[in-house]
Amino acid sequence: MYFLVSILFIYNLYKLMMLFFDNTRINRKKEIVSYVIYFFVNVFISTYFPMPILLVTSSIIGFTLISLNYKASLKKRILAICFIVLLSACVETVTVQLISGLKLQLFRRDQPEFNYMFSLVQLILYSVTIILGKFKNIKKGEQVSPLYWFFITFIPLISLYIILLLMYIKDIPVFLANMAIIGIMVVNVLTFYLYDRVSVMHIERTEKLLLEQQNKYYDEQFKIMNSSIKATRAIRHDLNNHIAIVSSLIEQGTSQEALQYLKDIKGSYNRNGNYVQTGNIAIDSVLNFKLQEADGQNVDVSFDISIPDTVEIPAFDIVTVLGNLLDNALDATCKLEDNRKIDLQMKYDKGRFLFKIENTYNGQVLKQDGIILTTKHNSSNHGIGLENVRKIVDKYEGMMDIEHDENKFSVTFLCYTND
Amino acid sequence: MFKIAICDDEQAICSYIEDIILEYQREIHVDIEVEVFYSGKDLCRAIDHQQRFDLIFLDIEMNLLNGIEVGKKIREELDDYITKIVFVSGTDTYYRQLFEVQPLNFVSKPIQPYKIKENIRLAMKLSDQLDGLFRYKKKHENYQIDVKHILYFESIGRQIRMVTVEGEGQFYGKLEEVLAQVAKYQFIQIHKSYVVSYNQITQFKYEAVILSNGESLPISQSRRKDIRNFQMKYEKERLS
Repeated sequence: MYFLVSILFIYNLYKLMMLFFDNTRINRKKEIVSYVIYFFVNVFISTYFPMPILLVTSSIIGFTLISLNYKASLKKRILAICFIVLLSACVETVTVQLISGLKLQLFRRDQPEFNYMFSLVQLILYSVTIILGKFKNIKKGEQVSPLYWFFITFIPLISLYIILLLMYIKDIPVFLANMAIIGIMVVNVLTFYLYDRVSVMHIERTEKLLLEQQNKYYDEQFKIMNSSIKATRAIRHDLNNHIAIVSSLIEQGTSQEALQYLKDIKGSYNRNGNYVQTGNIAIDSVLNFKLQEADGQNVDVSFDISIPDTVEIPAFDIVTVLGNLLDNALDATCKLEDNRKIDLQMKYDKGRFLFKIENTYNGQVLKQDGIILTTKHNSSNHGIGLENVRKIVDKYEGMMDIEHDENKFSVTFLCYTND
Repeated sequence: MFKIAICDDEQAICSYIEDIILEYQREIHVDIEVEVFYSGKDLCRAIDHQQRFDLIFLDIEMNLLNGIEVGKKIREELDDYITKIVFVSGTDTYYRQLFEVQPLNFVSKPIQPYKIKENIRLAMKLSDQLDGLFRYKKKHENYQIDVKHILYFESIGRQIRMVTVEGEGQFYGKLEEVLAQVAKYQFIQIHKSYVVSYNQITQFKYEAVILSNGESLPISQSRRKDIRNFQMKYEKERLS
């Protein structure tokens, strides 16, 4: 019985660790082994040497050793350990106080009520961890519906209530009561698992949306390529005529008109949405799509792009970064009535991909905790854009720099390509 | 005297660019010497005869010896990563090999004058940054070497090993002192034992750099973020 509740305790410990540490690049085996060792040590000590001071010390040492599994700065590690120890202690103390306040005698390891106590403590600890976890997820930009979150915290709370009730009822055989508590524990664990799955599903859904968007760009790009092939054919067909006209305009000494004529021909080529032709289908598709949108919104677009025809960054990531940053720039500059400008520079140099986008805007930047949010209306959905970009920046060990004065907003992006 | 070469098999383009350069020269009052070549072979022959330029405007799509091959000759055969190359191209699609030549920039046709001028300005600025001599003592004698030719310094024990375009050198010294002398020429310390010339780096990775002689040097873990910040700052200036 105590055994099973201890397992919940270990799960809580893991969740608490995850509040602080990133577990993507670690040795899984070592991690599991360390938790298991801690588990047995803990059980051993609390069974044979149940002195509070020993338990506390072993806990602190144990937490520290487990935290070494994860990559973090010393500051963060100390903060995490202190916080976890403090939190467990607080929850335990508060719960004990509450229970003593209700005049129930407990604390002795051999008394059956000890198990209730312990289960209670773990459940409360779990609820608190979930609440804290929710805040971290918000920071990471993962938006799970508040309704789900409410359901999920509701369950441990109700379980709490039921366990307290069980403590009050004196005539239940200990064995049945223990089974009830175990059952409640299992329900809670399953709920936690469901919560995790829900978060993961949400992330997958966002990715799916991105893929759909990317497909849309590809689609558009093929249409553009198709229509520009047709346009080129038409121009080539008429080339002789065009040459004749331009020659005669020049002979007549009206070179300005000749230049204008040539500009018109080029203009008709561009009007097919063919602004950029780097040879990278993914990049061309996103850029042409967005640049055409910009053109339609009366934005003065200038660009300077020199990148090789093949770049080693997966299309998916390119679409995310370019698409989102261009969207942001477009939205910001369209808030202005006039002087809408976007300038785009992309370079490939010394194994790095450099990208700078500058746009005019109305000077208002929405910030929270030093993180720039969005000035878009539907902030809960669109704030994700910049967060997704940051994730990709991290993925490639790259860097994103944001600068702005009252008129211009510029984002510079650097990342290493895998050549 | 800033020496610029123009290489394009279309005479019209060559004179167009030459006119722009002359116009720029009148604007900023700097001595510029321009030489024009109508084929890649002519340019290569001049280079074979020890002619050197600060900046070359190089057409990519030439008939006999195209821009890529000329560029490779300069970079790989002559180990010259200091001469600035600006590719002039009729299309926006650039082959990957072009980037191995480490061009300063690309200019697409039809050529816009301001782009030519911008590139000259940038090339001059970068050239100034590398204009200097590195001085050191060896066996009580004073030596100096053009900063442009140095790839990197490595500290081994109490000695400094200096790797240059021509070969290697060694002298007694401390890396901090070396860095103090060369920091203004865009040399960066990527590791406790390595001080590297930014301009001689052909590829950056988060954890290492690859130099023009093909060697790969590690960036120490504690310095990675700083080096990345430095790059960001440096490239932001170039992008403006």
